[in-house]
Amino acid sequence: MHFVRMIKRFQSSSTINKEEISKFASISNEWWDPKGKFEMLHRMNPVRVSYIRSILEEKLRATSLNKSKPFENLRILDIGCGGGLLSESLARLGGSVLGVDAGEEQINIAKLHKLKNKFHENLDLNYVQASAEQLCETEYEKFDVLCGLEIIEHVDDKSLFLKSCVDLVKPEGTLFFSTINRTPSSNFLTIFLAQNVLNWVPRGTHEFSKYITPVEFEKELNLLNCEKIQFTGMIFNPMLNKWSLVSKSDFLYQIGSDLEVNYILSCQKKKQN
Amino acid sequence: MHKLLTRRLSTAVDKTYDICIVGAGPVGLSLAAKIGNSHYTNGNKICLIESSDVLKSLEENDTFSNRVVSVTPKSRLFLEEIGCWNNIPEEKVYPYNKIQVFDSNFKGSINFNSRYDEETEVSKASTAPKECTPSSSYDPVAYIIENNVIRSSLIKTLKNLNNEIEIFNNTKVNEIILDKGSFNDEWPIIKLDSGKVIQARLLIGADGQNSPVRMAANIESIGWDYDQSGIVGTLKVSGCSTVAFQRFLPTGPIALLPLKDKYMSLVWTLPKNISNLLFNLKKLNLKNDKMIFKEILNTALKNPKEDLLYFFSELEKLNDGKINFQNISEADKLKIELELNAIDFKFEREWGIKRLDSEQGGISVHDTIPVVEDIVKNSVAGFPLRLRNCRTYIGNRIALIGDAAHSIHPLAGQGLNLGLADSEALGRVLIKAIKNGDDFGLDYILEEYNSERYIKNLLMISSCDILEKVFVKVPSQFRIFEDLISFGLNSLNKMDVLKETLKKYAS
Repeated sequence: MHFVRMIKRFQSSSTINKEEISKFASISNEWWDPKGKFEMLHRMNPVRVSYIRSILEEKLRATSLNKSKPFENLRILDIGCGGGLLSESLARLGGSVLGVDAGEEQINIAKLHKLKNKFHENLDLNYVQASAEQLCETEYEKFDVLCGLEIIEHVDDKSLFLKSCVDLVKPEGTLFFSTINRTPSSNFLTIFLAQNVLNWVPRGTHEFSKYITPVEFEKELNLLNCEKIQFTGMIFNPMLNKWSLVSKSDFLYQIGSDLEVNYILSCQKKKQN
Repeated sequence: MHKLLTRRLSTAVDKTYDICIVGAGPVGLSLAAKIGNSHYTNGNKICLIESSDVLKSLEENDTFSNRVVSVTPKSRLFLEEIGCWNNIPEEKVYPYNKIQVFDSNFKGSINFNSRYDEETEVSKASTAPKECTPSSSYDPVAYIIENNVIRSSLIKTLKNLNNEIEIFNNTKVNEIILDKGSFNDEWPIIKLDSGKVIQARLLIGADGQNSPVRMAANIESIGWDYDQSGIVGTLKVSGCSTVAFQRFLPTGPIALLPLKDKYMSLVWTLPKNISNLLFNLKKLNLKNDKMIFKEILNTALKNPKEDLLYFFSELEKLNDGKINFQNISEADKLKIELELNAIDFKFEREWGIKRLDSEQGGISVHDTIPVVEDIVKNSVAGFPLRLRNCRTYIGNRIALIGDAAHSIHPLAGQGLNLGLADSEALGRVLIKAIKNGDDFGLDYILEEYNSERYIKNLLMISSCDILEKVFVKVPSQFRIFEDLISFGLNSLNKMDVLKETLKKYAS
């Protein structure tokens, strides 16, 4: 029963054939394996969600907030959703989420994983294969929240990408981005160590020249009529195998090195003037 | 076709839950309360499966049920946090402010006082009359509470939660189907004896020492059985006491914990064969049965250890292995009765006390220990002692808490407290994960619980085991060891810093 329904759904939502389903199933397993290739991303995810949650909770403080579904009534766009790791978490917290990725494989992985869990949880979650620019041209709706996490360092034309993102958001909507700073330490840690020596992330994942500094980022956003809410460092502790946000009481923050490597930021689109 | 899909076809699932807890003992119940009490978890479906009737009125009559637990202040904080402590009737909580620990020769002793008690002790001095009510201390060493009282208070707590918890009462788990193939394909399926089939994002085993959840998850439990048994019971003693006593004997520690009035709770560790013999004798319904048990008990509490060893060897002589207690002949019964009558338990005990008094020059340390006057009917029970710790407390979509994860020598009375600490930690980790929208069944989320609790439990388990080895297993011919222990206890008693550390570990 379930099986038939699943295949039907799959066929209706995409054009891939049955052999491809099992192929994607194994890739999906690989992508969603918390101990696999994307382990770092899996471990980073709770920290990113907690940041998004705290910023949005602060912003929506006035309206009564449902603690178990804090993103209720929010239309959220997850740009560069990959296998849907962040999208699912946001949807589980009540958001109405659209996950978008340019890669066909990624979108199929995300769709399949959602179908698997559809037996158990009913999430308001959809996926579309597109780039931000394509979406901008076709999508008629605007979003309350946009997340572009760990994506901008893979984009060639950052200005165009950011412009598209801002265009997709309602006035006074919130945008979240996370990326890696362009500093000697980020070069050493994220490329030399994590990628080349320790193989924590697949080789070739990152290119140093594509990294963007917080100053550059803020400048770009200001040009696009956005004002910054908060820039926060994210740091990986290899001893605990755990990511955490750099808080104001941390040593790194106090010496001003909190954004030295990984950072996550939030900004608000200004009202139209 | 795809493995996942075919597997789904084989089992029709009636309902899915986010969290399914097997076992509604204090540990399982407290976890349900911790999760259900949080605002962040609304909308998460939680269920509890219990094989016995947990909802029937657990209100007790005046006699104490045999299972009491010692709740440390830290566990009390947790029970307060989940809203259970206020549901425990005040008159059912018996705090004690002091533990007196003795060695087998009464040469060494150590006192663990609560901070409050220590400050006031000087003014009270030794002239203070024995009071029946504990001094109004807000920081006792621990609280003695009946197991059933904690359980019914937790049930009451669950009923008042904002997040409803579904209880499958009187329901056994028939089968647990886990997806062992890959990492997170399928949620565990639980088949109930009612015919219902449920599925859960996370399956939690709070189902005791022989945890079916642990076995289904194929998590190895490492440990050994002691050659000893535990005997628990409720006693009526000579005077009121608000002090707990523990005496280390070569045959195992014996402890008295104060309940109300003249009642105290017994926790006694003794060799397995002696314990079995005592229970077998009880079954024979002999005339002197109760008196014999009482005399042996008092000997264990107050006499030189040689007297107890003498009684034990006499008891061992009764059963040369030929008597089948399950199906005993009248002749054998008579023989045993005659042999027992030949031992004058009362005389031997009193003589031993006199000997001890004269040896110690009139200063009788044992006087502080109360004399057992009566044993509350049907309160005595025995159980085998074992030490177990699982290789891990988690698996994918599986977590183990309390006795399902570890069991401990009852010498320090820490079993339940460790279990409650597990509940607190796992509950906290799960609430955090739910707050972040995580799929909290995945083992990398549960890892935080495992790494937090594993080391702490291991420390407690092994220190109790080491205590047991030092105090109990030392061969009697090595007097030097015992004297060292006495010396150790006495010096320990003078080292406040060390005592505080020990106490911190105990709580």
